[in-house]
Amino acid sequence: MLTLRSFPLRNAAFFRRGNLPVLLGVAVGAAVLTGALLVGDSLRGSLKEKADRQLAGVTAAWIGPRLIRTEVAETIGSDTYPALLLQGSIESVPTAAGKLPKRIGTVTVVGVSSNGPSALPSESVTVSNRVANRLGVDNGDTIRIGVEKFSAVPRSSLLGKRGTDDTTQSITVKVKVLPRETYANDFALFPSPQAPLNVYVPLAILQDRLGIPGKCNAVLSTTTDVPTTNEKFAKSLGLADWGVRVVVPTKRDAYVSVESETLVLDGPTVAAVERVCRKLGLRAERTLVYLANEIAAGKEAIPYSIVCATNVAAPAPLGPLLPPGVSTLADDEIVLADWADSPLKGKKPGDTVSVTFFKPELEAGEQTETATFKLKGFVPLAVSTANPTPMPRTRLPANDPDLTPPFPGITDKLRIGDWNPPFTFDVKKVKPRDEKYWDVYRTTPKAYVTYAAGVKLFGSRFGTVTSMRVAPASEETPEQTAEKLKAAIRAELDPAASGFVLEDTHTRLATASKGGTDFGGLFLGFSFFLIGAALLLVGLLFRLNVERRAKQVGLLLATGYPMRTVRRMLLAEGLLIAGLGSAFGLVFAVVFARAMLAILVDLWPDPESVSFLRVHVSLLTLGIGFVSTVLMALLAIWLSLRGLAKVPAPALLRGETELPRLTEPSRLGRFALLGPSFCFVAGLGLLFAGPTQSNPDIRAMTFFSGGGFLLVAGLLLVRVVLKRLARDNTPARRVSALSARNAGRNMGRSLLTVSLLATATFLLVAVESFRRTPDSNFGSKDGGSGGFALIGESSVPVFQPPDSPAGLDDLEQGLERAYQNLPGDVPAAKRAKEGVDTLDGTTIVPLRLRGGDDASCLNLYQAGKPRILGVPDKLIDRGGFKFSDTLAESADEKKNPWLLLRKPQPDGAIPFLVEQNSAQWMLKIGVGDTLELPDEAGTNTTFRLVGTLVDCPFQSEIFIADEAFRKLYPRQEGYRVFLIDAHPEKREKLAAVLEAGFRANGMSVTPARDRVAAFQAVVGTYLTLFQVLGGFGLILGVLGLAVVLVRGVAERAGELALLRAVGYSSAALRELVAVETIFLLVLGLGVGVLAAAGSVLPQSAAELGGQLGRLVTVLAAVFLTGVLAATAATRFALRVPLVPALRAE
Amino acid sequence: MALVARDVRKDYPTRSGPLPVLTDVSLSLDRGDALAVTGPSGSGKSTLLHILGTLDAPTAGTVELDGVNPFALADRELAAFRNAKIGFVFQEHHLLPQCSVLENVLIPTLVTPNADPVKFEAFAKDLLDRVGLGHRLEHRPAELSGGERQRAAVARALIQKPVLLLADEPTGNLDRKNAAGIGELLLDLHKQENTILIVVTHSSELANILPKRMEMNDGKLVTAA
Repeated sequence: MLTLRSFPLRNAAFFRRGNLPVLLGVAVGAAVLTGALLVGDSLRGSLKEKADRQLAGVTAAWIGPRLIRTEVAETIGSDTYPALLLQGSIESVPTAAGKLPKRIGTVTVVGVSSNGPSALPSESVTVSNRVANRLGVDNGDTIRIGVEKFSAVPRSSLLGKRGTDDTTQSITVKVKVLPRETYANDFALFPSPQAPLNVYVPLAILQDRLGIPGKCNAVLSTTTDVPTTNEKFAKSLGLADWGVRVVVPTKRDAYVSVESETLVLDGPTVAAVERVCRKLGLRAERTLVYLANEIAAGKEAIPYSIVCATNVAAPAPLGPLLPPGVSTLADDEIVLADWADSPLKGKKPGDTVSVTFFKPELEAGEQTETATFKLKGFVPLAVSTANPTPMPRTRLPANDPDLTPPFPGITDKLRIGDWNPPFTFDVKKVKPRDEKYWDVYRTTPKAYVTYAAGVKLFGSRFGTVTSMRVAPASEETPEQTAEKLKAAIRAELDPAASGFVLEDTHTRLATASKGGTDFGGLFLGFSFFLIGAALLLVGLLFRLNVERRAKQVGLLLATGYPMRTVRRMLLAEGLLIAGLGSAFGLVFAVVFARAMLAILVDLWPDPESVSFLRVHVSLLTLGIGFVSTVLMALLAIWLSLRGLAKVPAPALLRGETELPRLTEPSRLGRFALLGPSFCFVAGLGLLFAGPTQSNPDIRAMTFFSGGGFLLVAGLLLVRVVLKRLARDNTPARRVSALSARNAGRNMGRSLLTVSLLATATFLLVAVESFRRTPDSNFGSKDGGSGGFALIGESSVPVFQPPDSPAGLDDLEQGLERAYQNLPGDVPAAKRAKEGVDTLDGTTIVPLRLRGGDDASCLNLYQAGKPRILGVPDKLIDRGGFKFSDTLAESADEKKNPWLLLRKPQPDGAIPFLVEQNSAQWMLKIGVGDTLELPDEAGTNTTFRLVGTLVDCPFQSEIFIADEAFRKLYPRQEGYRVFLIDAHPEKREKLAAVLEAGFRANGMSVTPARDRVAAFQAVVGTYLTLFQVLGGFGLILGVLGLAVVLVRGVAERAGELALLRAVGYSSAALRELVAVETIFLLVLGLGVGVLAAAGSVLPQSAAELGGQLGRLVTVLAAVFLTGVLAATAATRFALRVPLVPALRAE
Repeated sequence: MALVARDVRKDYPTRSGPLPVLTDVSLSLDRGDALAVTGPSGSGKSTLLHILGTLDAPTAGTVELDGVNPFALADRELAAFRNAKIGFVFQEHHLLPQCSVLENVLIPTLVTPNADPVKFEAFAKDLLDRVGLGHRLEHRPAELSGGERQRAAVARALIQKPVLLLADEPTGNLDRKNAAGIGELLLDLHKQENTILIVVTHSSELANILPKRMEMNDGKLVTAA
């Protein structure tokens, strides 16, 4: 039986023909809304899937700047494995003569042992499927792998080797290729947009080729308990893993020396040793030795001598290192060793002694410095000259070659002339007396200064101590003390402070896979029009439905139904339809999401990097989509019913659904054109102001706003025109004139239609103004590129900048090797020389790079730890590049915001610059905000954003001053990024030369413009998606227009019937209805397009290019849909029976 | 008196100012009274009917039904008042095509508070028997003739046993035979249910069977000649 509850169901079923279009409208809304949310789910799900896949079961990893023993990993547990993870390059070795090798610049060389993670190949050298495809190699082919050699000694220190041959290792091997669907193809520990390029080399082979047997630089774990594994990791580390050794120097056998493999002890280690010594009641002295190029006084000089800085007044056995009778030494005083053949022997206390030396950090080239001291006197080396090398423990403290830690290539050579040092070494300066000293005293210092003076001159970012000398405890031999120290120091060293922590890679990637951008929100925004149009259609169709049942509503009211009850019944019916429509739409939501992902992949600048995107459906999202759509549809229905409630029951019983308009159309005031004129002038003003804006985003916004004003002007003008038409009393001479007047008759509805069409069209076209290509001044110093047309990036650091003499030598050698097998008669050496000559007149600025997450919009992962670039003073002083917003205060800073990188922050934060889009979208911070990023040891450090760059080719990185970089990341040595300012004609050749010459470093040179264009292409992809979806929305909106039209025709059925009765032909009636619709359609599209044309003014036709075609297609489709809608409405009008329509009238 | 209208005035706003439709209409009727209101088109007959039926409010004057001024009630109470006290028969039957004849008659009862559906259903069947549609309970309006539809509408108007039964051109869409039948039916049922019956009509045949007749002329209600 019928009840109030079942009434809506009965109505929904009975009026199903009218309700079906409403249901379909809701379904479209649900499909689009839920589909957009599913795109977000899909991104997160796909990234999560990719993360799980790319980790190949590895849940935690440590990758260190130093090597540790493989036993460390092996003793942690069976789920933890030693590995070598290296950045490198790879090239094919063609078998046919004259065929050029193919090269890939950025590969990850993975060395795991046979008991390593099962997903990673460990039995033979294996390349990933992707690498094989790019190189064109197959099973059994030969490749050449280039990786960085390990060096215990910092490359940037005096004794570090920096040449290409010294820093890179080439390994030629035959390979296997991984099958396509193998996890190892995608193995990567970090969130990156690039598809990984992996080469697997058995650990033992890699260790052997790199000369590091038993060592690894990574620990991989598949543990489920990362904290416990970290505890075990910390326990299994030994002093050797810190590179620390505790020895009793044999020459004197009087004290214990704590030294480092790296020649310099780092700060945390020194602090640990000092704490231990304090606890054990031992005396310890910091000691810093350094090689002086020359110690001179007057005309006499001693070449290549060790200078020792320590507490020279320390009591035995650590000193004293002072002349007899002297008890103190000032920081500006020096003590010289008293040896028989010393050319300075005749100097008197108080004489000036100069010490010339290379500055301790040499990456930017050797820089010589001279310090002067007052001679304090001579310290004796031997008790008697007859026996200068006495037995241990009888030696004088200054006669101690062990003050200098051993260094292969120098301390182990029998003659100075045999040295093979990495710095400029003039063997001619070495005299026989120097060789004689070396023969007798070896590395015994020839001069002593205070520790403070030594730190000032020879201290570097790597440390200020070459050994901690510890006096043995009383009653103990040095050996006994050494044993005690070993255990105590190991216990004191904090693995975490030294960066020995396995990172929870699984959690990190899981966090990163939430995505840098909320794609659900983004696509929801893109689909705004479509959803809005669908809901508009739902409202219009439902209202149309209800209007057809107006008499029923009237009857219910007449029989005592409160309006509230009637409205509830109708809403309940709407709810039913909305529920069914939403449920139906959910099925298509999946289809919509799939289509969106397909379009995204297709439009993305590097489709391969997003090819992993798959549709993921979550029940929660389906639920949210369902409920949201139902609620929005109900809102649309409620809004459509609002007006009906005001219509009195008698009117409803007559079938009337609107209150009669009782007011005369207002007269056109004298100032009717004032509004449109004002908006028109304001719009033009903004369009003229646009080109004066230097920030491209502000410029785009200015043009967009200008277009917006033109749009408002156009719509106000349309209003005036419609009013004029409504008031026009001139007899219509043509049917089309009657149509135009009809458009003005229902002005509100017509204006709404035109406004909707014009606004949608405007937005669709005008967003083009945000589509960007590099500016015309991009190449200039103050443009986006900063005047650097090319950007070089190497996978293995280059330690000698390409424009330094040593770097040019490296380049020439590298080119000679690269050109060995080229066809033709020109010798490789000649070609190499010509290649090097290309660099004439070229400026190259090398930058240090700390690896991290790609913070650019190309990375779909959330970038937690962006890459960091160290900007040298040379670039900071030079300035250039385009800035958006900065914290600059002084005129100098405003002129050159790079200076802000050197400006100390009140809270000690590190100032940094970043590209504005990366700041806004990826890092989600503004100028003045701070970021926390770990330093080399993993301690969080605060960074403050002091400025944002525009159109910068570096979206993936943040910029900090080189000085701060060196302090935070002392072991991040060498340069990996190169800004290259070259003559336009040379650029292509220069790029080829640098790539060939530094191929061992995996150098890749790309035009800055291409890099920026790739980033801008992502924005372009989003804009295109917006336009595609907006276009569909507009088409749906036009269908809404058709509904309005049908409604209008229905209202005028009697009027049309009368026209037929008085002899209007069908064709004339068709014309009457169609022209009215097309008139509104043309007005809407026309105003929208004209206003939008202003917004896209700055873009040339070439820039608009392909977009223009698509936009024209969309607008043509909209127009066509409108015409079809008009035709349908006309047919409807002509179908109304003549007599009943007349009778109703 | 059960129905008292005093000095009822109704103006409609138009672009050229208020248009008076009813001017000082007064009327008093008691239960069992039956009145025919005739008059030319546009004289204000239907407007008067809508005001008496509380579908429209007077611009001035008062109406009382069973001692209640309905226009002093809130919307919700007014609807309940109309539901309980007033029955309508229109020129068009306004039967809901999605409901059976029986359901159509019961439509007003769905919003009656604390209604007893069984009692209402029995009464509806009784009414339909009385209007000659006892055998068409499950039929849809589309399956009925014009006269049958209007008889169903009469049954619907009486389902709440209203004090006031209003009929607006109830025979306007019917042929002479069916019109006579509906007129008789209205009068019979009005007597049986002891309601006040007011019929607005152009039909002199229908007007003549009612005991009282008044005429609307230029917005004024006068005793028919």
